[in-house]
Amino acid sequence: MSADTRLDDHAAEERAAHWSGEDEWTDETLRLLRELRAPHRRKRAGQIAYAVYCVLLIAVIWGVMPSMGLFLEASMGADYTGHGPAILAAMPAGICALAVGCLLLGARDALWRGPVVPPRESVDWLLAQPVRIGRLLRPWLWVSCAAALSLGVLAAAIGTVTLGLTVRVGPAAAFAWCLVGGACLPLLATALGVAVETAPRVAGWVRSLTPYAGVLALALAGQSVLAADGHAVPWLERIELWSGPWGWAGMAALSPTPAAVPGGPVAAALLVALTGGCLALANRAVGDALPLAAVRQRSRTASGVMSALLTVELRTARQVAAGAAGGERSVRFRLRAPRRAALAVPWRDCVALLRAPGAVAKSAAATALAVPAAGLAVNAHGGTAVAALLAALSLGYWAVAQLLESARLETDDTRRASWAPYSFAGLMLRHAIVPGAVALLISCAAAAVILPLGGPARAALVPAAVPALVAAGLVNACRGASKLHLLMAPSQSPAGGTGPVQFLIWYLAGPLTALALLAVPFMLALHAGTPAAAVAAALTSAAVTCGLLCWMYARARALTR
Amino acid sequence: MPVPTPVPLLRLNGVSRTYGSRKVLHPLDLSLKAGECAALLGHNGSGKSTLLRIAAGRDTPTTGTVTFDGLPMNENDPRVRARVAVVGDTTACYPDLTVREHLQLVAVAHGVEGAEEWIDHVLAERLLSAHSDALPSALSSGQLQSLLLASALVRPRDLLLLDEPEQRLDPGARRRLAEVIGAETAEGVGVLLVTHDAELARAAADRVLVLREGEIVADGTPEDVLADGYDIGGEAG
Repeated sequence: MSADTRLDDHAAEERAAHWSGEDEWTDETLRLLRELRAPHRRKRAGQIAYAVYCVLLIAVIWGVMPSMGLFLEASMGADYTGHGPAILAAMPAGICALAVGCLLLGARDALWRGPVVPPRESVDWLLAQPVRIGRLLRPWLWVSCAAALSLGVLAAAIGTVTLGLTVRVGPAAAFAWCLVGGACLPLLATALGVAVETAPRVAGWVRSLTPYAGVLALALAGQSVLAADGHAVPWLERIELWSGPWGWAGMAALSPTPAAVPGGPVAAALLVALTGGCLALANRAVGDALPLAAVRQRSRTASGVMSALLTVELRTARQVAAGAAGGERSVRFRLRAPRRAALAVPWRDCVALLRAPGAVAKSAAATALAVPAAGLAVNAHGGTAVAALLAALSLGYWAVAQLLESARLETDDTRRASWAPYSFAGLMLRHAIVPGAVALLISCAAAAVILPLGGPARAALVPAAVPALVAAGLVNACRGASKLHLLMAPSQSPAGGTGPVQFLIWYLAGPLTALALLAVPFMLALHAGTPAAAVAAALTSAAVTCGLLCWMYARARALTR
Repeated sequence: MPVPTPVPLLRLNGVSRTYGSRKVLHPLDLSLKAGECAALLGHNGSGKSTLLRIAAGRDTPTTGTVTFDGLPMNENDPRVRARVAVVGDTTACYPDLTVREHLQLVAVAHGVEGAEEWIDHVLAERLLSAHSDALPSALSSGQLQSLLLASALVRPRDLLLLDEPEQRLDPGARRRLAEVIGAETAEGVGVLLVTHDAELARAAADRVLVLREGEIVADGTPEDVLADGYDIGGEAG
């Protein structure tokens, strides 16, 4: 029986078990709860007020003051309008991309958490009492709406500053038109989240459509970049702008600018009406249709993720959220088991990749992004070149890390590996074979694509980096439990405590080491473009690989000591 | 079939374990012959699982030595890992491998001849045949426990270490567990069984040891030890 069917059954049972009017104790229960929790609420209100103060302080220091500085400079003659045409050209597809991303984020968030997440204690005992569920749950919907709205206002403010400086649109008009999309899209995403939370079938659609929506958002972002570069496709943009709420937000934002599209006010009205209607439906669904089993499950998941985040166990947090959002795993592909003992772990890793083809796709996508970043490093100089190369290597590391999930599963609980006839460190070493081979295949494909552009010496650098990055991923996989004491490290710098930086260095030790050691030889090889420089970079990569594997071996032994 | 060895298969010599200032195990000696099953009984916190972890080489004793067939017991020594099977106190499996693939992985890695037939046999014995293509997330906790036991049985072994294997099993599965242990010892495998189930110890073990606050307070045949009415903090059967 699938989780979705189980939720359907729970919902049916719960709808069947209505409290009668005589049993209803909502007002009394809530009043008692308010009285009992008054001290806690005061403390909580204080914490929230402090958090809001910190956020506002950061917003003023990093947002309002620099923006005012820019406007002041503009009033004294500084001209930022040079960027105006590019920004206006990028806006139609760019806002569509942001809107699709926002809606996707809302829908994905609702798969494991959702807009209606009461605290664990309320879920554990209050939902079982004879109280009206809608009155308990609706405040949490409105809390989510308020949070979404505040992000929307922030986005509108950023839009106002951008349009004000580059297109000289008056702040009031810019803010009003940007606020249409800024407010409506996050609220629409919240309402979509309620639909996902309410109907397991919608949740299934979100799971299936996520990759396509992701690709669509990336394609729109790409179109936006091309448009900014002077390659706009007006007829396509017109279709995108009228195709739905993602485009209506863009039309509204373009309204006060010289690039306004006819029908902007109509699109804004449509967006506001759609958002209002969806919120009304969401409000009704929270009272009538939201399965309590889903609320309980999401509350437990949210509490688990929060606990993991508080102990900075980021992988655990990701696993808990992904486990709740991922739906039922299925066995779609099988692979015949080998006969030779040496092939056992490679076979296990191949099965893992067959069961998670998304990991290979993500790896290929990241490699595809790393290659142009490296290309940028070839053509740029100074800091830009270094930043582009580091971005390329980071993307390369991320690509490889996607393939190392089975290695990470071993270190999540080393007792899993008690079956293995080799040491734990030896087992981890064997987990490098298949991810390394797959990453090499992907990188060779990328190298073949850039061969005509960059020449063989530069193309060879793509696969040359792979072994070191795989080894770096294994070093990170053998990290062990979070070293929380690093966060509280007493040493200070002029910018404050160094604890978080120390923690970050420990957390990313593998990739940071690989990037630091590969950056110089790869930069030299990219700029020289000669076979000798490429060989030197490849040899450096091999040496770094050996060093990192030794480090991984020591870390793996320490995990089982 | 494993060949019985003249030296004890497993020997703990003067082993103790201290965590900070808390002494969990007092210095104790224990030996286990090939083909013998020794059951460790005792209250929660009496040191049973610590003793088993030390016997499996997963924990280092504060004092004393542990040897397996004359070799220092070390979890990272491939010679030890190839011959010692451990069913621990966890149900952690690979979430992306089916029941059959778990067993295939273990059997292939240990170079088991005719692995598929043997796997079919073990699956049938552990009543997992109907779930052979299921992922761990679709199994009950009792079935997960059976899978872990099956993983230990599908590979070659001279020593089998079981930490409360009766947990999560229904009465029928517990009875079959006693039969499995009996079959293991008949084939010359040494079994160290940590359990709360006196009935299982009576049915499966040649020797029963009772641990109390880190000390062995009884060591004898199941009939003698269990008849003496030691408080073992579990199901006295």
